[in-house]
Amino acid sequence: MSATEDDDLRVLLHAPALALDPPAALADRVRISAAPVRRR
Amino acid sequence: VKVEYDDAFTAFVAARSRHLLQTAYLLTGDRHRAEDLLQTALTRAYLRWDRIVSDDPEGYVRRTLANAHIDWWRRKPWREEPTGELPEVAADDGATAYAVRQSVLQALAVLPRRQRAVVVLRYYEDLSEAEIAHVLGCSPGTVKSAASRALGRLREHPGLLARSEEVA
Repeated sequence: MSATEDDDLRVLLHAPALALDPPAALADRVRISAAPVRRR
Repeated sequence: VKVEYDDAFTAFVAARSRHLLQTAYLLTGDRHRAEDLLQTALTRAYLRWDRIVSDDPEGYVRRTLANAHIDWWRRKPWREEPTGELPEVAADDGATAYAVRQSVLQALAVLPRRQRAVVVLRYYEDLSEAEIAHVLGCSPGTVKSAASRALGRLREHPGLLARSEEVA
């Protein structure tokens, strides 16, 4: 792959069209999913 | 998890979850799977947070994302085949964004998971071949050959690289 193709691919993977908003309260969701493991 | 570590975890998630969710999205091609994968990786990180917070928590999450994605696939009997799954794409943010998203995700869907992970880690996470080898637990030579095969396939995907001109 040429340097230009490298750059094109890098640009494409960073496209704003591929950005997603994380779920609300993600850290709290993680704490909830971790709680059963932490209680063991 | 101590309070100060808990606060640090919350701050880390706030600062980095958008970037890491895009990593997961590029790996999976599906929003819901990406969210599940990220939550799994963050949960593993949270349970070890006191040990990883002073080192490289993002590297830990990135490594977990890539390997959890590949490991899931290893358990499948058809594991060496490309996903072949066409991404779900929403058309609510303009025709150009839709076209770029569809082109990228459908091109990545052609790749077997390890090759796909190499492409995402190299071109989205900007890791070196040596760093990718460390993340995936393989040799740099394996990364190099996987990247070469992946890029050969992507190059054959019609119009993919030309789409970069449409990205704002």
